[in-house]
Parts: sequence; structure tokens; C-alpha cells
Amino acid sequence: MTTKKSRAKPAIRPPDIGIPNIATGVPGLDAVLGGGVPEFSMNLIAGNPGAGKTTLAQQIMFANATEERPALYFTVLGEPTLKMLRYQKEFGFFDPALVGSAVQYVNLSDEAVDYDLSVVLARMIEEVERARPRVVVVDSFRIAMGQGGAPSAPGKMSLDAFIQRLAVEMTSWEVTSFIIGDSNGRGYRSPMFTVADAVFFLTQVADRNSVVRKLQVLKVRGRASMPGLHTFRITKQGLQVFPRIPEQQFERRPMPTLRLTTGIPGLDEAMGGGIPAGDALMLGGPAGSGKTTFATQFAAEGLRRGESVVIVVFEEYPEEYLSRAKARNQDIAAMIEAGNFRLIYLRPLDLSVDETLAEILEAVAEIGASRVVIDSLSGFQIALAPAFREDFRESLYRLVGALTATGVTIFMTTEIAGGYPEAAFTTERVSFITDDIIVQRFIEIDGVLRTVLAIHKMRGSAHSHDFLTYEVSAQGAVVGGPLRNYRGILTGVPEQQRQLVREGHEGLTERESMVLDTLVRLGGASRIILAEHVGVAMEELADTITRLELLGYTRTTRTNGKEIFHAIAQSST
Amino acid sequence: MVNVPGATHIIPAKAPSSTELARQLVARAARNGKSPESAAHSAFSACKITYRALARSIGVEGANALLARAQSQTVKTHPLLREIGIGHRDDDDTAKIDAVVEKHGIAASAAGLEALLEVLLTLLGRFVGTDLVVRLVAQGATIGTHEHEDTP
Repeated sequence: MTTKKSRAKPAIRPPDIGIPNIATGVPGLDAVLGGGVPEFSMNLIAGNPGAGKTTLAQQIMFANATEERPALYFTVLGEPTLKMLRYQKEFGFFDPALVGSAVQYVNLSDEAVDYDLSVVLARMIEEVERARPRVVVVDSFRIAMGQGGAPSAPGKMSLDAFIQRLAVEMTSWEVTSFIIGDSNGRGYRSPMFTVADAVFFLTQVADRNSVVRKLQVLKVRGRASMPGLHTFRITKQGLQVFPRIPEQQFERRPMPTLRLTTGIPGLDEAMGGGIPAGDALMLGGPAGSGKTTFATQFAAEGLRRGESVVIVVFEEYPEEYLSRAKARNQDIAAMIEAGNFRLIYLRPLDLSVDETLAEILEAVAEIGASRVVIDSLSGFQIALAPAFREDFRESLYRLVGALTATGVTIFMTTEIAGGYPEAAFTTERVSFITDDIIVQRFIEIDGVLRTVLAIHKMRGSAHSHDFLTYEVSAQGAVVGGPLRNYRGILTGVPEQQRQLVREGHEGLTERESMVLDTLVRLGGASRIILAEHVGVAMEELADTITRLELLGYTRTTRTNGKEIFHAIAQSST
Repeated sequence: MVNVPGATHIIPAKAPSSTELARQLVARAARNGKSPESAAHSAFSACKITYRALARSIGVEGANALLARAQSQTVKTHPLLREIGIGHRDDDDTAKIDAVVEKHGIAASAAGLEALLEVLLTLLGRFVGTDLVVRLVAQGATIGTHEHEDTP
């Protein structure tokens, strides 16, 4: 995601509870702060060296500085200004055209080193009175975090007194100020923490090979800030915060009582009419069982119906994923061109859940998606930074909760390892998070590998309790009828219950069996003849014939331009 | 209201080269001089104003470091610069430039100081880019310098 460099300044938002907010210009941060930074507040940005404090302050400063109400950036003791400018200039928010007029840098390190804090304060007052700034940044107060209140030398201003005076002066100047302070986390007793109206604490944690940055708003006076640790990332555009609880979750959309067609022949019927809109469905299965085929068919069906679709992939490169999807659904290419489709590819190994969620939510909002495919949860788990993998259940809970709150229907795939009865969806048990669960598996019948699926769970909906056969071919997936004449399916090697074998064909519906029997009897028939013999209207035969052909029971030939259907000889069991 | 009076008139739309900027600063110093000065005195004023502008925005230490490096690079071709000091708290340096001009002549002194200024701006530009050099120099130059010497 990019934040465009813009001269337009964020306006002061209308007051929520009296005091106006100043927008920070940092994506996601205003939501965490409960609307923004209170105007004329004194804010402390604390954290470890390298956590991103200076970048955060600069980003806020550039977002709010104008020539009429400029921003003053005081360097007291910290990174040399020359170096700071050299690196900050690389960020998208840094606008060199504003430097010198709307953004003014004042270095007071000489005064801080050679004199005492009263001289530093006097210089600040002088500069502020001259410039009448809207925003003031003081960088940095490493000293403030570690020292006590004793004056540095007899007769000189103590740090406590300096901080107290600074707070009073800043309030009376009607400026919104940001004090940057290095802290190792032991500085909570510093008077700065008490005096500040808001405290931002930034951390950077290295875990195995990944680094995760987190922001915590310890306090904001007069605002209900979002609690907890929020991950953030520093990109070329500056900071982007990913709130733990996305805003959408506060505005849960009412769910329509609709069912979404899956686009997989035979599956909707088994699910009682399709997937209830707004549900989170999890499709689990072993490697090669056709999970991705099912998922892309669900997506393609949405596109075919004019809906917008987001697919999130973690394992395959987007080009490969799309070319495979196009091969199965020839129409999908044209529909992708139509613009109501987004493919999000997330592969880094240091992702945070919030970051992933923000990316998906943004895509959903951008195209107004009603279907989201996450393929797969196993890949998602690996793509996360180790710190988040440990809390995968909680992470997934938040992801699914936030997404379903927007009203989208989620289709997730996950790899199942192990035998059927004990099969776990992932290394964490996450099934409670989903509304609907479908499990695929391989079974062996007479030495042939077959595939079956079962609908394990559908919240508040009747559904098939059978083991249903399904086939995945180059044309896609087709779900067949129930595998009723077998026992021991869960073992993976079922046995046929011969005494229960009835007339008909395994895995076919009654009508499909009738059509097949008719074709066997007639040795081949046109559509009109077949309709006559079966006793149904010609148009009602279309789906049946398509499925029989996909399942390999029939084939079509053309004689003088007329379609003739034939049964393909099946080996008897 | 433009907060920094006069800031815009020396900030061109396109960033000038260090040579151009140095010449502009010297010309500006000549225009703003209290009484008609020699080219060497104008160049010296331009160096001082630039140095102070930098000291204000990037700090005295930063400005000193850049100036020292610029001086060491320029002194090879302009040895007279060894006799000139541009210090943050050294206000009584007019006597020094007078002595240098008397000893080496106006043209040589002016050329040395302008070369020093050019190298100083080039070094700064390598760190922060030429566009920002103009902004930083303009900021301090037009706001006016702060007489740190008066502070205890």
C-alpha cells in the first residue's frame, strides 16, 4: 500500500468530545488514538533506539505543517541533524519544498551541552514566539528518561523543573507538541510520563529471523484509545500502523439471509442451498485433494455472477496461481480484466496478522468484494512472524472476525495432515472460528484412489451427512452422490456392503442413474429421444448430461450437426 | 502570511548548483552590507551567514565538522584560508579578514572564500541533496542569526 506524497494537509477533524483532533497523517494511527491527537496536547513518543520515533514525529510534523502555522523541529540531544535529514529525506512524506518555511529545523545541542536547560528553554521560547508554530517536536530526551530530578550542576535548572516549565509553556503557546524520548522501558517514573497528555511507546522485537515493530498508546487524555500492542511497518512512505481491532469491526454489517452458489456442481445441494452469505467456510484436505480448485471455482462463480472477489494467496506466486485458475475456468481471465477482482500475494516470513488483515480489508473496500478466498491457512501460518505463529488461533480469530464483520463470505483452505478420524486442520485447532467446515480425503476402493468429502459443520443450517464422492478434472471439481454402500470409509479403505447394493450407479443421483441406464439400453440417443424416454423436459437434462460427462459416464458425438449421447462402459464392481 | 520573511525570494524553483548558490549568497551579502565592501568582505560575510544558518538548523557541531572538511579541501588551492577562521562565537573576526586582504589582495581573498563556500555547500549537498541545501541555507539566512555569544 502506498501513501502518496501530497501537499494537502489533513484538516482538523470536528470535535468528538470538545477538544478537536489533529490527524497524524500516519495510516492507522488515528484509529488507535480514538480519532487523532488532541489539539494543543503534549505528547511523548518513547521507545528503544531504532524503534521509529523520529520517523513518526517527522511524519506527523510534515502532515500538519503549513507556511501559516509551521512546524518547529528542535534537536536537543539526539541523532545529528545532518544525518537525520539525510535519512528522513528518503521517506515519501518528507517534502523538501516545505523545509525552511513550513518546516524549520533548530538545533539546540550546543546550548544543551555547554549551558543548562534554562538556556535551552529560553531558546525554544524565543523560536516559538517568532514562528507561531502549530506543531513543535523536541528531539530527544534520552537524558530525561534516565535521570532523576536533581539539577545537573548547582544553580542550574533541574530536569524535572525543565519538563514542568516546558509543559506549561507549550500549552500556553497553543501548539501540539511531540517530545521524543529514548527509553529502555525502565523510564516510566520519569516526570515526562506524568506530564504528557499522550504517550506512544514504540518497540522493535527480534524473534528468530524476523523483526516485529509494535506501538502501544499508553495513555491519551480525553480519548478512548484502542488498547493493546499494534504492529506497524516502516516503508518508503513512512510508518503505517495496523490497529489490532480494525474500525470495520465496530460497525458490523447486518447479514442478508442469502446463500451463495459455490460454482461446484453438486455442492450447493449438499450444503442446503449454498454457503450462507457472511459465513466463514473452511475446506480442509490432504495435499492434492483439490482444495485450490474448489476455492477458485467459488471465486469464479462470484465473478460470473457480477460479484467482486478477493483472493489471498501465500504459497504460490500470483502468476502461477492465476494461470492455473484460468486453465480451469476459461472465463476467469476476462472477468479479472473487468476490475472486480484482486489477487493479494503475501509471502514474507515476518508478516503480522494486523498487516495481513489491513491489506485484505483495503482490497475488500476498494472493490466492494462479497467473496474472499484465503488459500491457504497453512501458508498464512508460515508467512507470519514467529511471534504471531505462537498465537495463531487468536490471530485467525481476529482475522475472521474482522473480515466477516464487513459482510464478506470467506472461503479458506487448509491442509490436513494425519489420518482422517484424528486429522487436525492445522497445528492449532482453529475449527471453532469457522461457521462451515468441509473435509476432503482420499480413500481406496478396489485398488483405485478415490476422493470423498463430508460436510462436518454448518452453523444453523441443514446439510448432507453423507460422504460425497467428487472428481477434480481439468474442467474443475464436480461433487457426486453419496457413497452409501460402503462401510469403514473413515479407515480410508472402505468395504462394499454387497447386500445393500441397489439398482443404480455409485455416486449418481436418481435422475442421473435413469439417464445413464437409458443410454446403456438405447446404445446412444439424441437429447429429444433421451428426454422422451426419461420423461423430463429437454432443458432439465442439461445439467444431468454435463455432470455425467464430467464424471466420465457418458460422451457426446455429433452426427449431421446433432448431438448424440453415449454411455461409456464401466467396469463392474 | 509567510512565516519566514524573505525566505522565498532566494529559493528558486530549481535547485542551483553549489557554484551558482555560492555566487548568489556572495552577491546577496554584498547587497545587504551596511557599507560598500570589498568582494573579499562580501564573500566572508556570505560564509559567516551560511555557517550560522547551518549551525542553527544542523547544530554547531555539524556546521563545524562540515566547515573543517571544506577548509581542509580548499586550503590546498587557497593557502590563505589557513589565516581565516569562521567561528560560531567568534564575532571579532573582521580584523582577521582585513589582515588577510591586506596581505594577499582582494581578488585572491575573495576567490579563496568563495571556493570555501562552494565546497561547504557541495559537502552539505552530498549529505542532504542540493534541493535541501538551498532550503536550509535560506531558512537560517533570512530568519537572522541568533547571537549565541550573548548567552552565558
